[in-house]
Amino acid sequence: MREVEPREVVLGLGSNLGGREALLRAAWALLGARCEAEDVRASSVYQTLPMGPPQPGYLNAAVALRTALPLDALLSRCRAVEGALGRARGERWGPRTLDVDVLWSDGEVVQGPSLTVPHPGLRARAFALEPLLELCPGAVDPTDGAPLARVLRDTAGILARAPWRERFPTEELCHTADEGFVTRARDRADLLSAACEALGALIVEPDSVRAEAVVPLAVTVDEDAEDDERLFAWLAEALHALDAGRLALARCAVLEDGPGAVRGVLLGEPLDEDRHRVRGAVKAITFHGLEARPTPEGGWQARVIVDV
Amino acid sequence: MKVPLEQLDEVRWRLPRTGAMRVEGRVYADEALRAQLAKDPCLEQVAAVATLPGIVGASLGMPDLHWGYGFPIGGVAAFDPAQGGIVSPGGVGFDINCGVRLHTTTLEADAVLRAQAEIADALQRAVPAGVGVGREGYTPEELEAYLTDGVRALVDPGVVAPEDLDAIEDGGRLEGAAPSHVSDRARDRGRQQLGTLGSGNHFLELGRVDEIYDAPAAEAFGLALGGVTLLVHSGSRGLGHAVCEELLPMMVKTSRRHGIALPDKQLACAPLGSPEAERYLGAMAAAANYAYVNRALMAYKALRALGLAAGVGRNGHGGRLLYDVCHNIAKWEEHTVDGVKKRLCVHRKGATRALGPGHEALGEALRPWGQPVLIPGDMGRYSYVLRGAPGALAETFGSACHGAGRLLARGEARKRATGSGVLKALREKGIALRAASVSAVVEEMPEAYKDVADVVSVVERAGLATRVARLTPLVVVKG
Repeated sequence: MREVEPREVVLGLGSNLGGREALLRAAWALLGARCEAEDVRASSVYQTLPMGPPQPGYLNAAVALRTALPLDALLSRCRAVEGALGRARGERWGPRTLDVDVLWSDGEVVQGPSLTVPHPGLRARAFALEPLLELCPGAVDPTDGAPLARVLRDTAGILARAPWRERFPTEELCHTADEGFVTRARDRADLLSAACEALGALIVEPDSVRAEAVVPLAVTVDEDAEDDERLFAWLAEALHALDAGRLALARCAVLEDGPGAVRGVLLGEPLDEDRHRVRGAVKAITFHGLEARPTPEGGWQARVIVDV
Repeated sequence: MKVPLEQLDEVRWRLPRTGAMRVEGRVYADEALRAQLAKDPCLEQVAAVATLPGIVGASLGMPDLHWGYGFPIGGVAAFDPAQGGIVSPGGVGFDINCGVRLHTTTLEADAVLRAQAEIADALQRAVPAGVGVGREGYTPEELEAYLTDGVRALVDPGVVAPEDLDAIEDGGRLEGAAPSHVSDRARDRGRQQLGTLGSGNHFLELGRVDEIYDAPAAEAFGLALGGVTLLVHSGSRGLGHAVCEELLPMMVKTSRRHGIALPDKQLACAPLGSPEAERYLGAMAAAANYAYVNRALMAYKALRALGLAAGVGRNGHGGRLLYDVCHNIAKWEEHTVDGVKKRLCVHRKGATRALGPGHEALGEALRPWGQPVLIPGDMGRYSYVLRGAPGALAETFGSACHGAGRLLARGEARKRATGSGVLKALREKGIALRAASVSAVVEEMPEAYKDVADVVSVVERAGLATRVARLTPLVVVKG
């Protein structure tokens, strides 16, 4: 492989299907693990209202990383991450749940049949420029030296923003014999992701886990199942994968929250008691006090007690 | 919800029937324990259990009662199939046949203290503990045999002596096991985790007999002052958890179809005799058999390691099984209710069977004395051996408490102490602790539990079981 000096590269992420926030965060974790990168930083999440026919809004974010990978190699890693998070194993290409683009590379211009950097649409897209500038405020377009901050000021469209770190506020519940948590999210698909991550965090502290393995997860749900029963089925399936598969969980992303099934992926790595900070085992999910419901503020909330 | 509690006598309290309760509730506690009950929703749970179809007698709370999910922990309830009675997985818990096994040995405490650290290390190596560990890879055929025959499948390989079967509840094999109802995924977890302790409140403990209350019974049980005992506390591991978890959604649907109102979905249930009830009871019995095997395998490995580390050879420990009891189970038993003998499905969730002297379910050696009732305390204080008394059959469907009962939530315990602090305090008491994680040490610290002596005292004053001996810990291995 050609050797390149490590430099800052910014990737753009977008999702409008499935548990969108969880997908972006999962993509961030996977890209960090797979792109031979150091100093991986993620921007806030930006919401873009859809144009054209009615469809769910897009969530966008950017990831900045330092890597010595050539851009064409980096692009193929990005495609692999899209593949891992964009379709279920054994199925034809499903709906596009995640897009990853190479937006910008510090001081580098590439024009080829399969890759153009800076991204050709970058200067016209506020939803790509704003997260990029949040990470690299002084970035310039290497083709003409124009500061991208000035380009953004000239670009129409102000975006509603929701900072990345404010999502999934999870609190632990106090239960005499067992553990539990309350978690909130933007929609039901994200709630399933968030609750799964909170479950994983009761077993192993997720900060100590790298997102190296991708484990697909699918569970069928009765069409008339109530929301708490759907959550129970999803979490029970996830717990089985973690316990029987000895997996330490970094992230979870729900790709499809359909009427008869929930489908998604777990990201993590094989449990290593020496390296991972293990908290304890979870025996099972309980129905006791289980809740999954919309909140008056327009989001979703789950309350889960587990048997430890 | 405020649950009214009326005092009947020094150790008995009544929850009068209100709302949808079909029977009253009865809780065993003294003044001090009762004051703690009000702090969590366990009394509401006693009342909720009393609303379930076909419940007879009373919804019972043992003195170690505390907040569970669905049924309270320390809860006992019996259901009559002739009155629409039900079986509920929430009345058994996820850890099907979690229980305790106690062995006596011919070692003296001094011999253990001389090599205390080596013995602690050896026990920790011999019995894997913690999150999902264990890689022995039992074959599918072995697993099938354990699910079907329980501990009886360990007699031929020489792990268990034939005479030990009499010293295990159900003879180490619960009737009615239907391994075909145990899914492949439950088996996957079960094969990996067989012979492992797990985490949470599970433990191995070497103790010293430090007090004898009932000399003739102690002698019959093989308990002598200064003698060393091995206590094993574990259950059916991932296999039992998966059995319960997989069948719960079916139970939720079944309850809905039968129009059973549930104050808490974890109380989901099915009428006894229905295909769903049969399916659960069959799978549950198979998981219970697995748990008996799990405890027997761990005790076997631990005793050999103890013998080697204590310098008497791996068969020189003189280990003898005193008894193995389960404390999370539902099973068919005959009981007399209002003068009529009935076959009932008795649920014990965090409660121990306690049969008095002369009961026909006991083997010849134990029958004159009553069933040994093993009540572990926290890891810093002491555990008790009791024997069943006639009062248990008369008023609690032959049941007594199962342990100390938690006082502090795990999160609360983590705020109050550090791992090194707990270790140091135990070391000063002469106890060697080995644990798979720091959180296990802190969450299970002695102060997180009620004093088991208070709990046992209520059991004795209520005439459910009487004290035989007390054991203090020398070596503790936690998951």
